[in-house]
Amino acid sequence: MKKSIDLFWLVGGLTVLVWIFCFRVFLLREAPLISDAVSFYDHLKFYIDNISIGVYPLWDPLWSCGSPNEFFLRRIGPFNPLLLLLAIPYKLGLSYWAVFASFITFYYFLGMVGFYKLALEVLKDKKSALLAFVLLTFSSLGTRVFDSYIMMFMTPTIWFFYFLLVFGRTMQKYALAGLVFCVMLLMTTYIPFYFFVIALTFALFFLLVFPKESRDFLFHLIQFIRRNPWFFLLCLAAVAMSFIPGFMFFKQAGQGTFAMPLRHFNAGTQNVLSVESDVATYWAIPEDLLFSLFYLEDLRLFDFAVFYVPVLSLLFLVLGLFTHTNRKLAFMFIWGFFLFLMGSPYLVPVYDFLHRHVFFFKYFRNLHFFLWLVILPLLILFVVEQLRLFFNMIADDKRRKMMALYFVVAVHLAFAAFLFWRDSFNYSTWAVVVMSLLLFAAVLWGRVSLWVFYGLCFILVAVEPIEAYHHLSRNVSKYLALSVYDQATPDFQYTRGQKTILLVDSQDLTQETTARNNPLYFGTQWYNLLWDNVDFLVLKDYTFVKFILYDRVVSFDEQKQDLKTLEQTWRQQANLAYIPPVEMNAALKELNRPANSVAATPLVIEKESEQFYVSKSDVNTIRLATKLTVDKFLVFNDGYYPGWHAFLNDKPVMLYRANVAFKGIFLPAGRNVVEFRFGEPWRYRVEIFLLMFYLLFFAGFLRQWYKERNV
Amino acid sequence: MFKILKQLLSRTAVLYVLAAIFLLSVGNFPRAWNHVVTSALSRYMPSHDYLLEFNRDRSTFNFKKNKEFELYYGKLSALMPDMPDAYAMQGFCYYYDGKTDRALAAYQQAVRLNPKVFNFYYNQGIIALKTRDEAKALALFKKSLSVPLVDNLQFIVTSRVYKPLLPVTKSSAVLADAMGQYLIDAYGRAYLQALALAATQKDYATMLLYARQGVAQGVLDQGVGSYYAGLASFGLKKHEASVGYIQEAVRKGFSYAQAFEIMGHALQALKRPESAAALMAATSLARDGKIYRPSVNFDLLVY
Repeated sequence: MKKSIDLFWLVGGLTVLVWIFCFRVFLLREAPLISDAVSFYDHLKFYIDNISIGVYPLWDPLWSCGSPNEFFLRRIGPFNPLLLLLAIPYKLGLSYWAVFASFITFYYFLGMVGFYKLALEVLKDKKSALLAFVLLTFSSLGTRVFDSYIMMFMTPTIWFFYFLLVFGRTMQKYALAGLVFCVMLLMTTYIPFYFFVIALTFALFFLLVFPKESRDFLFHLIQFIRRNPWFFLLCLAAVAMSFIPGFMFFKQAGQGTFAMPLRHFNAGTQNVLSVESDVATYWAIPEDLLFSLFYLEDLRLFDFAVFYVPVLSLLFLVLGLFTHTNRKLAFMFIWGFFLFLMGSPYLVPVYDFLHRHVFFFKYFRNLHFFLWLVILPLLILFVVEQLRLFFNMIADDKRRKMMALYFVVAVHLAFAAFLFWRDSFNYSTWAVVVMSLLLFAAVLWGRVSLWVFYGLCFILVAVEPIEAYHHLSRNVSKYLALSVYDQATPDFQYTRGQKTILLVDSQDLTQETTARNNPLYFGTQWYNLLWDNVDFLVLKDYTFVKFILYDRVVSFDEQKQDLKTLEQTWRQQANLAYIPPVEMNAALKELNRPANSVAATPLVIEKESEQFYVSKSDVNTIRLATKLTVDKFLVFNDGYYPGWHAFLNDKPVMLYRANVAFKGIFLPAGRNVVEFRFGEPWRYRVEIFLLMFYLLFFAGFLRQWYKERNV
Repeated sequence: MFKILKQLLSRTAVLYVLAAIFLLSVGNFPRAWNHVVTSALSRYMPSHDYLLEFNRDRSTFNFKKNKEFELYYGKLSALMPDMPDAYAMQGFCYYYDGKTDRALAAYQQAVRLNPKVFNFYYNQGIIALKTRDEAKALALFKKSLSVPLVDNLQFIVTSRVYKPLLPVTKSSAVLADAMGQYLIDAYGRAYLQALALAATQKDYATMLLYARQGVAQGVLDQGVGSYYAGLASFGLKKHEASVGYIQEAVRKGFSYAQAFEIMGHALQALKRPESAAALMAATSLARDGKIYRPSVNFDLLVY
């Protein structure tokens, strides 16, 4: 027992240190984050910036000239209590990068520790669990910390399965609370449908492979409910509550007020979150695997998003081919194989069938996520279990040990021949093959114990990733650019910086038919119209300033009229604003003046003055003081969106949709106080309530775990 | 027997066998392979900015970037072995990586798949020239010039491999025009290489044929073409024709020392020594700064 604890801390500690060493270039910010990790960094920063000053950010004025923030909140999982903890060191003066880098490292290892505990539950062997922990830690899942936000749902998914198994075994309250809490996180982080698929397929195959255990589980669950009805009801209520934000967002997406053309351009349903089958099937599991193979032949080319497991696991896989199988192995194999089939839409029509018949399959597109989320950890559990069975099979039998030694030598020689045939340049791979052979020979000859074997496996596992991630660090660009979120300041800025719009690169061999060039990733539906129809530079120039005061207003129907008219007006900087015909009312008729009766250009506000200044602002609210000599029409170049309200001298007034995509109000002459406010008060109450509820539930769960830890 | 069978069936390998049987019976492998290869290669494809820049200015060579493309085109040709342009691009990268043997082999494979592409031969000719195999180079330049320009144009503008390397235009007509002009220049280069080699090898019949053909096709500068025709005619002892060609060359601006020298020799052979002497004097004057040197360009063409 003592030995196992010592080895755990030794190997565990070394694993953390070596992993940090491998990724030091990224953790020290000598190389930038890549791909979706950039968005994660940005949106988390935006969230923490606001939460730390007591503002719940439902609106993001920095994205696409103002967009609802619900989508990005869903991505980061805003109710996760661990995210709130980030605000503390940040408020205490630590740089955001230091906080962020510490958090992603911590969260990754939280997932890995969860995996160790899960492996212990599954394999019932500490040595094997430790090996599984090291293998997963050094797999390329670690690279995804810096190029995606997959860890935000990987970690809770791992812990979910751990608590599920513990609950199945012990029927303890803390385990139920733990799995419920993981579900709560997964329901509010990114798209919950990946988890639905994982959980449902797990249940299905578990039922098939373990019918008796499933029956027993149900029986014990009923007994547990009888014993703890209120606790169970609380858990059910918590799960139900976690559906609320997702459900509200889903409903909002059905109204079509925001646009996600990259995802939805041809989906054939009303809901903008829905995904056309072609989009989802374009990049699935076999594509990810083949792409990865391109890089693995020569580790010097190693790059992000390459699916990689230390070569030792492949040796274990082959060595375990002739071990006796058991139901655990069969279950892991069948479950993983099914997900592989589902994620191979061009090979078998499983996904096609599910996309047509199961509603939520229309709402997620990254089929290759199942490779990382399930197949990778399953593969590692599978090979480690095989290895355990391999040693069990030959234990205390000299003849079998001798046969096993021949087999081990044959497998290693075959592997070396394969490397030679593939002209492999990977020195570390050769080193692992040689060391692995020596280690196996030593253990089969009885020179070293199994504990030493498993301990030394750490070196064999780590050698190759150290080389791979060294090359990764060298191959990535070292160009570091500050994002618009890095540059954001608490003070109100009257103008926008250079980066207001996200450009999406779409150069592609196969892209000949459907996708438009540079579609908007996310924005209001009206801003998307401008994006598609107005010259990019004209739009950028126009939106550089946030406030423009016009003397003339006319109606404009973007459904019937050409948006080039608007573009021309902006090019000429004409003193003319447009609003939809249905919004033209008596107050504005006065501003429907002839062009020659007013100044040629509008009054553009680039800085504060006595006549116009912002007195208070946060991302959801902005308050202005104005002193004008004549009536004007104020266009606030921040996205128009349902939920925004305008107030003039604290009285509600009509908010117009000005210049197709922005906010506008009629501003009478004289001193006025104008306020724009986003979101109904109940929305904030719901969000804050959920935030508090998650925090309390988490605290309660930890307390319960502490109480029951020795039961 | 039953025991052995039971033992075998209880092994983990059986799971793989069953999975393989299942996949082989229900899987659509050709469809899946086609899609998987195309998608994976698309993502693997490096940014073409470098190659575009390198194509404009060969001094921007970058070993690492060239290696990336070498690997990419290597994968492309391995996974889509019926794409001659992929082999050709692989050969292009090999050449700049200093692997001329591999480059030659890649271009030969491209020719096997499509023998009607100009640059497959032209680039092989340049490689042969680089390796000082002039006879082979001349034969390859001749072959390159036997490819009809129109067929070649069609191949380039429809190639998916060359697509990211072509000038960006919205109209296919504009693209065809641009590439047509590009090919005229490229064929012109091939004619010049062939003529220079034929001159070195004293293959006057070939020289005369290609000089006249190049001018007639409008891809070879008339002055240069007429000069080579004059030189070839002189070599073939057709002195009258030689004088005529050289006069034509000088009229078209080819007023280099060699032109006057050859015309002088031709006139001498035609027993017109006064004119010959005057021309010889002019030759020595022209020599000061006006000696024609056929340009030696070892750069390969991208397409």
